[in-house]
Amino acid sequence: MSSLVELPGYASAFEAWLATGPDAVAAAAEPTPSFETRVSLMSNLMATLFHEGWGRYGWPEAVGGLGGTILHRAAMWEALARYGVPGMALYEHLEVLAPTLVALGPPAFLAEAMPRYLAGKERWAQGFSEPGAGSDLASLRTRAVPVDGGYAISGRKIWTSWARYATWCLVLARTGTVESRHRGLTAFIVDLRSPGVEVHAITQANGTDELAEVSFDEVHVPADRIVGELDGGWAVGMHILSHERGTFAWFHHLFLHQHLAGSLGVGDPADDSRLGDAVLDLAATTATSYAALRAHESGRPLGPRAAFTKLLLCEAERSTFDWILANDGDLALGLDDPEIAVQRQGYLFSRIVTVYGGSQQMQLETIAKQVVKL
Amino acid sequence: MSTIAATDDLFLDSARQALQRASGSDDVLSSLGWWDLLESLDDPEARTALFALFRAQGRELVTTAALGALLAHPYVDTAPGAVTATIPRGSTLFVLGNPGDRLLVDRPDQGATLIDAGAVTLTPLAVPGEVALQRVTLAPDPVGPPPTDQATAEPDGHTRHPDRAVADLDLDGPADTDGAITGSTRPSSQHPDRAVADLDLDGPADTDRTTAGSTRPSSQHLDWVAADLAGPPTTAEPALGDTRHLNLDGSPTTAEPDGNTRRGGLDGPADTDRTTTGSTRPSSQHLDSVAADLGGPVDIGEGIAEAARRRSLFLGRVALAFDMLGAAEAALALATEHALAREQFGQPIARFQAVRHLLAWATTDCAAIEAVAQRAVALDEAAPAGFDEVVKALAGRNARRACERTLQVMGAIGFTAEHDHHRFHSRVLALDALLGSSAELTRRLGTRVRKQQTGLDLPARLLAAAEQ
Repeated sequence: MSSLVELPGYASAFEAWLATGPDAVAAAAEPTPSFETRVSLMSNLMATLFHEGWGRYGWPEAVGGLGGTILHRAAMWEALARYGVPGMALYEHLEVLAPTLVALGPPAFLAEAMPRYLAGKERWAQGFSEPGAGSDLASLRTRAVPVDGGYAISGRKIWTSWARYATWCLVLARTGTVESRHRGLTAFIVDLRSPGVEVHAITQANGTDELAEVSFDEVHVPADRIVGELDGGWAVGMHILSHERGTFAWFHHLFLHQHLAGSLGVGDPADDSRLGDAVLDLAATTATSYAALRAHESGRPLGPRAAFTKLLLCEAERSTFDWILANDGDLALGLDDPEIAVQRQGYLFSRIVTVYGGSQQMQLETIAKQVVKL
Repeated sequence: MSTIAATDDLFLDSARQALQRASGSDDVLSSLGWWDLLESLDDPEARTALFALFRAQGRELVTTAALGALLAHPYVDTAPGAVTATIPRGSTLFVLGNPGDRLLVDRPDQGATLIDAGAVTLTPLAVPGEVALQRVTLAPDPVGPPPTDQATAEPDGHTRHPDRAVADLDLDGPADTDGAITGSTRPSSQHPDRAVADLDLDGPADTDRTTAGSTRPSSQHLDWVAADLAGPPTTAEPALGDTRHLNLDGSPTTAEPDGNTRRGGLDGPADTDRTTTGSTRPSSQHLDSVAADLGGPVDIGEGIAEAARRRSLFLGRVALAFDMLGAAEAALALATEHALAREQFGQPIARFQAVRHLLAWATTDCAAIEAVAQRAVALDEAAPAGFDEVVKALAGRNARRACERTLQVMGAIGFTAEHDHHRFHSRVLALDALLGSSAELTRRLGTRVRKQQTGLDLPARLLAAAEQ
């Protein structure tokens, strides 16, 4: 299996495996409007990929991986998208949180927890936003107070994606004063099964319940569950955001290609210019997110350039679904056909992509300040 | 603004400095070693440096002969800059910058022809944005030197050659003779049997976009000339073997008789004087002998031309994308400077989010062009089919958008003739119009994707190239 650490060998061997038509892939490729069902299909797919070894490449051996780089993961999901898997669902967090966990998290804990994540047995959520802290993340108020053997966390997080389905949550909490702003924050790994944790799902406008509000009432967290440094949570958050706004675009946009391709059959020739525009937006996302992958692979920090990728991904997602809506009117009407229901969920979600992961306006401010130097 | 990797910055900076020093002279290509880069297209670093010149051209508002030479390169193997490819638009031919000794005219499906630059009339056009565009008229001007502007119209309002006064080299053949040009002044209809191939890359649909005939006084109609030069459609291959390049002397080797390398970059016979006035222009020894041997147009069969055409368009479109990127970046720099200096309500307007976000979007527009164009340079021949169209379409669309956003930031001063902003904006508009506009290419891209029922396989191509 050693040749699989090299990307060409891995990519062609994985392609050959996909060509055999594995059941788990076929099942995950079925249009499935129920998010709960999606979670179980995707978890099953992850288990298969882990068992066969494909899902372990791109991750270090210390966390249950088999070596290789982020390009292995990029290639795996590229091929899965081509074979009809419509998205990563909540395993998107593997490409948002896990790179930071692996880089900055507690090794002993991750040696146990990451293999379960990679194998689809456990899932992770990200506890950043609060009712009073959205774009102004540094104003968050959830507190972590030192207690015997660790910390007690109290506070409320909201818009916590997939908390309902998650075992672990990476919580950004205040270990300094409120006035210390971003300097007094620490990133904790919190077991969502702990006493004092309550998770309330939030049903979304597109019908799924991927978001949640999570409250913490003196939840005990062992001392060895800190990611990064004590009071160094801001750096952890920025590390995560450089993936969420940078490399993540690669993974997410692969499925936009497939959404678009799936609707080409109903395309109106009179609308070819708009279709071309969507393809251009996708190409811009491919090119910028590929640069992000390579930057990550060679250890160069992406910095404010991640904001470009985030903005371009949002543009691509919007123009893709703009075209799909314009050419497939059924999307606005029906929920009975699973395929249309899934497209409709995607369309509605594309209207909100400019909000999550840092709003479009915040990305523009990042660029104005740090790139244009205004 | 720092949107590029350090090595690219290096190439770009040296190209910009060279262009500034040389004040637009073509010598800059020699001083930069650009001709050597053209011989090293297989090397990714060399390609990066080669294309950095075009980005620098956009930044510095300079046109060199580089594009025509780059476009000709896949067709012919000659001394540096000896052959300049013409650029068709609609059914009119153009060259950018001062051409070499020979012009390459390509006709899709019918091969290409090399003609002596002295056998054509070049009419400089007043294209804003320092785009040194010249219209190519295949007829030698019987009256005098080529007119330089619209002042060549006679005082009585007649054109110099009223009977030939149609701007376009209309090569569409009889099928198009009832096109947009009014019949009576359209000499092509007089010679339907000698009409040559369609030069219009976009097909007959564009023939009605031809420049309005008799109101363009400086142009001359050329159908008869073109027909004479090219003869009937060339179907036979020249007996030159199936090499990628057509060697003008027919030799498949790369060694010159005198032992010099064929395209010796800077050490070949100097192409010193690049004026456009035919016979006095010293040309390379090599081409002189060719001209002497062949004494006229040289046909390049469709078999060679077809592959060369694809490669040529790829290189040319990527080059134009970089030039437009440079111009948009320059417009952005002007608007940024303005936003930081201009005060309203007691503070620089750069403090207002509405203004900041316009500039951030313009920067994003540029970042997208840069990323896509850089991928094209890196992938080169491994790029997905039609990727050059994607690059050019995106560059035209985004550079135009960026200029619109920066114009809004500039306010009214940006719309004055004295301010430089319009020069960069105009350059983008002009270059967008060459080798397929963003509007045309975007529509065509949509049509192709819809018909093929599949998107661009760019992600897979990038990954496949990543390991090498």
